[in-house]
Amino acid sequence: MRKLRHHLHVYQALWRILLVYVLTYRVNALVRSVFFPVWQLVMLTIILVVFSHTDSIGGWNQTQVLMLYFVNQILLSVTYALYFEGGARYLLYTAVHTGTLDRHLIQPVSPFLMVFFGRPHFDSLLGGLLMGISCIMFVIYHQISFTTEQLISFTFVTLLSQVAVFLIVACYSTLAFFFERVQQVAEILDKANELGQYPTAMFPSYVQGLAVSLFPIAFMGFIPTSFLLDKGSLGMVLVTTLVIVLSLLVLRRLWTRGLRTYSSVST
Amino acid sequence: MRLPTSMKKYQLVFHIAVQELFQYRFNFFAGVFKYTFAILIYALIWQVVNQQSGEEFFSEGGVLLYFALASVLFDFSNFHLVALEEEIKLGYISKYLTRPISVFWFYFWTQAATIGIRAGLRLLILSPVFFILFPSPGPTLAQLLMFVTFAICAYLFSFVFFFTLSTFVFWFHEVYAIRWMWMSILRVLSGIWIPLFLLPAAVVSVLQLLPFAHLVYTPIQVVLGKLPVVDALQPLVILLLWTALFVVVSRLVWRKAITAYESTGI
Repeated sequence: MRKLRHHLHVYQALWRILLVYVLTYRVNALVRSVFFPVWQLVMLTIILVVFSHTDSIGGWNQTQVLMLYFVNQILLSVTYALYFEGGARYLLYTAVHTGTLDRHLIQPVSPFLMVFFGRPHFDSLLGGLLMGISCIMFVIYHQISFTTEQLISFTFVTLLSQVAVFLIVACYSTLAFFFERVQQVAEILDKANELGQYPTAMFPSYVQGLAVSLFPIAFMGFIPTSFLLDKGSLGMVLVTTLVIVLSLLVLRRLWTRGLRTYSSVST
Repeated sequence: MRLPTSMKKYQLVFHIAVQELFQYRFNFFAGVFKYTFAILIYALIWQVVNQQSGEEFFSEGGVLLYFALASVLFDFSNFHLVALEEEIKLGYISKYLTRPISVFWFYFWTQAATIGIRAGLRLLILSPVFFILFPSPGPTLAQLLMFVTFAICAYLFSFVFFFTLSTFVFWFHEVYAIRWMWMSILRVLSGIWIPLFLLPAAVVSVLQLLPFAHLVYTPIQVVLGKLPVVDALQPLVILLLWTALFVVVSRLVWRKAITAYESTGI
């Protein structure tokens, strides 16, 4: 408990520092946030064009796909803010390659936690906030209602899926220990997310298999939204749990091995 | 054939750029895979829409063929000159200003090397798709030549545009967001993400006057035989006119930027 409190204390301090950092470059943060809606507009246009030619895809109608889209975007922004931009990307781009990982190895805090959660990107949360507001307005406009059971199962499955996504992303990030330059791995994961805006059920079975393993896109929207829209199944929870267990084992091995491989001079 | 001395240095730039690409092979091949994968994602989406809509706007295998061609053309218009922006920000641009080398042509040939190799590799990776799915008897020589011409013109236009955009770093510290917005719009309006014939006719006719559609959609239509080679000349002229316009803008902006620029040391 004391150790956990210590971690929380360190993490709180880091968030405070980063908030000050983001506010130092207000214009840049603002510009990025202003252009965020443009990207959303582009993505929504594609969905609207899709539904101008068909009534449903993979058993999901337009309203349900839009709901999935909102959930996917909110989860993405949280993921990016918490550990993708400043954690996974940091490990893949800089930490091992330039040797700044040393800094975390000599500190009295878990290097794993520091690497992945030590540099949250607040500006990514602005997009999530915007999508959250849009989502609420969308739900009110379409008079969509959810039962308490749906909301609880959605929350539980979302948390479970996010653990699975984090573990898979962390596994990929450890490639930085074994290859000289692996930035493109982060980009591939980034690109794969574009598929997460569509119901995984619409794709051929081999793509569905990939979506819950190598490219964890089903966890980034499809599985949680399925529970929100009462389309979820026990199988989805079991698959998610299985993925968590397997990726945890792989990650443990890769991280330990990676640290053993890692070498640098000076701090 | 001997190249003039002024061109030899750019030939060297091109060679070095090719060598640098293969310096980190894993990363390079992952990069090639990334966009092939990203574009084929849309092939999957439109394949499902094609099957479920009942409209059958694509023939058997047509979706995959369209997006495979889009994947080959992708690099000609989707790139960025971040390295140039960094050099401007850090003041390293001085090295070009004091040496007999043009910043524009240096980056032009460096980028050309990247694009050439990437597009070539994609063509190689996707060649089975083309061999299997291309409708018999395949594209004519004229269609292929027009396709290549469009690809080169798409690169010329995009390079001039991105060069102009990067020049704005002299005034703004960051142009990342503007570039990001441009690329998002470009990917939709050029037909990389949506085959343009799926859009309303009024939108398509407006797009014919803009450069976007002619970067990807028009050359694909030409090589698939859906747009006669002769009819493709008009879009090609439109694309070249847009390029000329941006060349003028680029020169004006660069001249203004360089006048205001000052630095110490090289």
